[in-house]
Amino acid sequence: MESSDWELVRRCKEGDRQAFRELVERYQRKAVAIALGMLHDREDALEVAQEAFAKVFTSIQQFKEEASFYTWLYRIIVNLAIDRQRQKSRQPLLERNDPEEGESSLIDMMPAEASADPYEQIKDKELGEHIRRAIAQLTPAHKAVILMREVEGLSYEEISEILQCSRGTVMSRLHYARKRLQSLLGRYL
Amino acid sequence: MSRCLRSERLVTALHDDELDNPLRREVASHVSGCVVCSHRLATLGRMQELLSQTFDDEIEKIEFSNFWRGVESKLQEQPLPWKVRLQLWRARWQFNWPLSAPVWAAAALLISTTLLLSNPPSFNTETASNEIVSPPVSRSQDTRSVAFASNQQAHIESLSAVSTVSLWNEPASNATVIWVSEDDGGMP
Repeated sequence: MESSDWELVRRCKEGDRQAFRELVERYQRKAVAIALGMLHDREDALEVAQEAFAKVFTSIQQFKEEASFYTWLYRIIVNLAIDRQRQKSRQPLLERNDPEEGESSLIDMMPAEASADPYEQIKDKELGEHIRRAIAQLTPAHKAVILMREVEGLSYEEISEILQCSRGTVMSRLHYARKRLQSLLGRYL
Repeated sequence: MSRCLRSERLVTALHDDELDNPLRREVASHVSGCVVCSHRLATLGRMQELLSQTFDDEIEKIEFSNFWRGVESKLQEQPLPWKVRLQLWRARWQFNWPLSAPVWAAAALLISTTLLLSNPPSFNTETASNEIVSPPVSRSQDTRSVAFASNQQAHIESLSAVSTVSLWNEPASNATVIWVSEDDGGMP
């Protein structure tokens, strides 16, 4: 029978390395997915996710078991991803006019400086590439809410706990992020 | 239409499953009969589908077999608190023996005491600890060396015909004192 997160955390606190490994294997995909959405680079995402788990282990004694493990993990990942993005000095472009009807394709709207991102070596116009580039247009705060809601399926309450903001702020950021993505991906929706 | 503009947030909350039952039923009922809101709901659903599929596809391309090794390597890079290091050491050595730490400490003390008592440092197996002994050195001999216990050896450079050699072993400090006296026959 699979152990619950709480049981694994309890065993981790006692130094059970196998329990920690089980936690890692249980959440590694979700962790990398969040990091990938924030950073748009596979290697960076893997590294940030691994750093997050290492940080979880070294801080496990401070974790209060009445909280949710995966919200704690996601909070660490988001913070590390934001730090990593700052280190790489990637600036999301916020000030873009919404496309009017009949305007040229999404690719034409992409900023030149974004071409350094591995994601942006587009050889064809696959939808996935468009979506990733559209997400890259968002600020870290908006990326985080849209990823946690649409990809991870978290509730407003869980997202507010992870991002340490109010439920109203989550709803507001989500509303803006969706509007932004709809304007960038309109033809595909 | 104005009602639909006001209900945009409600349609979003409906899509996100964030409405409680009475309100949820009311909004769902409205959406089913409103072209604008049903289109809005469908758009939200399509966006979610695209986003989750995009990341699912990307995650599927990633090989996770070495992910754990990467985590271990990150752990080694980080300075672990001493409590965590102790826990890791215990886990690594599978320290599952039932005896408690005080018992192990007592056992270690007993073993070290036994070893010390069974193999005390000594220069002569026939003598007691602080006895002054005179090795069988003839006064007529010009002795160059005297052998003590199995692994201790002292060298005397020269002796005259009237020299007396005395040895004093101090086990506590593991010291051996060699006295070479003239005429008076021994140590003061």
